[in-house]
Amino acid sequence: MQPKIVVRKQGDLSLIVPEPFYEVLKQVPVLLGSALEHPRMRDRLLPEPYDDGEANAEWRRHVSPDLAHLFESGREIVNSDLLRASRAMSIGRAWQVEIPASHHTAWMSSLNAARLALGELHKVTQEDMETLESRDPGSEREYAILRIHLLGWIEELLVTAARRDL
Amino acid sequence: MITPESPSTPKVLEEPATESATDSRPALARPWNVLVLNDPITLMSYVTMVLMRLFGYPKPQAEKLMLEVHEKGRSIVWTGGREQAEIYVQKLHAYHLLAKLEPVE
Repeated sequence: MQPKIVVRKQGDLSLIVPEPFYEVLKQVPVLLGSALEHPRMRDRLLPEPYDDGEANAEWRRHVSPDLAHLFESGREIVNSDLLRASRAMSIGRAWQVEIPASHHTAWMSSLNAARLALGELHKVTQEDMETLESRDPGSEREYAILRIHLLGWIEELLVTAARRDL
Repeated sequence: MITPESPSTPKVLEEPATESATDSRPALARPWNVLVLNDPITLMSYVTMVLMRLFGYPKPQAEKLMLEVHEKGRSIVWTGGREQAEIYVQKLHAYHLLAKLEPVE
């Protein structure tokens, strides 16, 4: 089976994913839990918007803490929803994750953050993302690129659901 | 704390005001560009959705800006006062889009 999303009443979502996708999803809160301690990941997830050092210092003082707090809140939301996931008994080896409408944005943002964090950690390039053949099978880097694609698949489903409301 | 989904009224300047050498307006009154930069990871559909949500752009306009980001490496997605520009960049960062601020030349 492929991952799928069922839109429920009030915009709540049921995400149904095969076991391998669920295993990758469970790694998202773990990865994000330490992402801001890693300089390159932190620079990408909390970027500086100015070309001016002083303005960036102000930004780091006054804006970055709020963004870091929002980032952590999103991570916790995703983690709590994943902990409540259940086996989708009628669909074989699949898991069902209930995502309340109010958690939808946190999920999209956190999945995007996890993909970016993996990309930064393994210096993934545009070419890497567009190449279908494996260059270094079995390596950590190839596994990271695979996870970026798997999480992208799920994120695409969430984005499609979100665009219904726009 | 900001919430990414709280929209504000977009104010797009079709032709951003330009400054001459004798312009005496204070720095805060100058228009600022909000730029979104390309990255190899973020989904194109996600960028479009965020631009629609934050700025209230219709899908064709959001897709046009997204494609500009993808093909040219950057796109000016909004131009206006610095304070509002900073709020937009903060919201774009909450979605983890790579966004920057620059004064209009």
